[in-house]
Amino acid sequence: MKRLSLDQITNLAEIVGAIGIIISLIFVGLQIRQNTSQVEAASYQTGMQFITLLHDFTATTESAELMIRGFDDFDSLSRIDKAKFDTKMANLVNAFALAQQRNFQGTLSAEEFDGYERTMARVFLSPGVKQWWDVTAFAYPKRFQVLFKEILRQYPNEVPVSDYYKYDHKRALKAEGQGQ
Amino acid sequence: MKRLSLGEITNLAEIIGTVAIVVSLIFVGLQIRQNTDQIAVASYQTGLRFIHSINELTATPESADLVIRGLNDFDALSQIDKAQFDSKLADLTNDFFAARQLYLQGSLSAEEFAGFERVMAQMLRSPGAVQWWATTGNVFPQQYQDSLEDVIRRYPEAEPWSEYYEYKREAH
Repeated sequence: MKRLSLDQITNLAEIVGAIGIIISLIFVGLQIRQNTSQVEAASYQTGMQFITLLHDFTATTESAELMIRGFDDFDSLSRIDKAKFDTKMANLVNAFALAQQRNFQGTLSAEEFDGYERTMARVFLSPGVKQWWDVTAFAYPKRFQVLFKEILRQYPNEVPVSDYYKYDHKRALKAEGQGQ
Repeated sequence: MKRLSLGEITNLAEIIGTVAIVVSLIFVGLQIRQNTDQIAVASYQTGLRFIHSINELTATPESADLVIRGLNDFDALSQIDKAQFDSKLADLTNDFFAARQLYLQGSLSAEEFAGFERVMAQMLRSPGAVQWWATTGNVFPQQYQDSLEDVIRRYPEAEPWSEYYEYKREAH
């Protein structure tokens, strides 16, 4: 077998190297695409945390009673119940802010986040939450106050969560009719 | 020992560089395979969360009592029970959509997801879940509403989950 000269080996190495670079670029592209999917999935989970927190409000009898009373009339709650309601609402606001950040970064779709905004509007349209926000808003960064004002301006006709918890089928049908 | 010329050193460097590229490609390939395996495991776990949520519906006597009553007749529940039942079904729906997203991304198999769809259809075909959906469905984002309606339509023969809780041997 004829022995290759150093130049010939170098030429072969260059060809193999060029092919290797192309393959590695393809791999990098695939990796980036996979990473993007993972980031989107993580953002989706972050958004879901907001919804899960909302569902957790009524996960137990004690919590459901507190939240339903609080959504109707925060002012009528005892001091301890107000503190509990406040904690839950503060957690919800934080979860919403996280989802908003993901949306701002472009990793949570506008369509998905629009649903969360509408949900937040429904929360803030409840009479008890208006009362709660009146007495606690000062403790939040100014941008939150602007944000929620804007959300309420955008979705003034959503069914308040306080009404939602009445589980009125006729009301649901009416709301559906208004939405169409 | 013969001293190498600059050209020969360059040639040798190119050969070593190529060997390094090939080795790094093998490493990248192994890394990607490992990542893909991890994503597949994570997706499987997400899918399992949906099943876990279904099992959790009846994990305690209180929850089992509430869910079985609710799946048979949501309208008959008290307001607080409705809120709790709603919370459980809404969480279940979220877990279903998390699994669905992974399926759409290609990281959960079609076979696995078809099983979840069937269970979701069974759940939504229970009389109480039909009442629950009629009352609360409109607050879900439109794409979720469309997707669940589609699941209900595609499995018309699916036995309602409320019947599953009858535990009747002859029914199967």
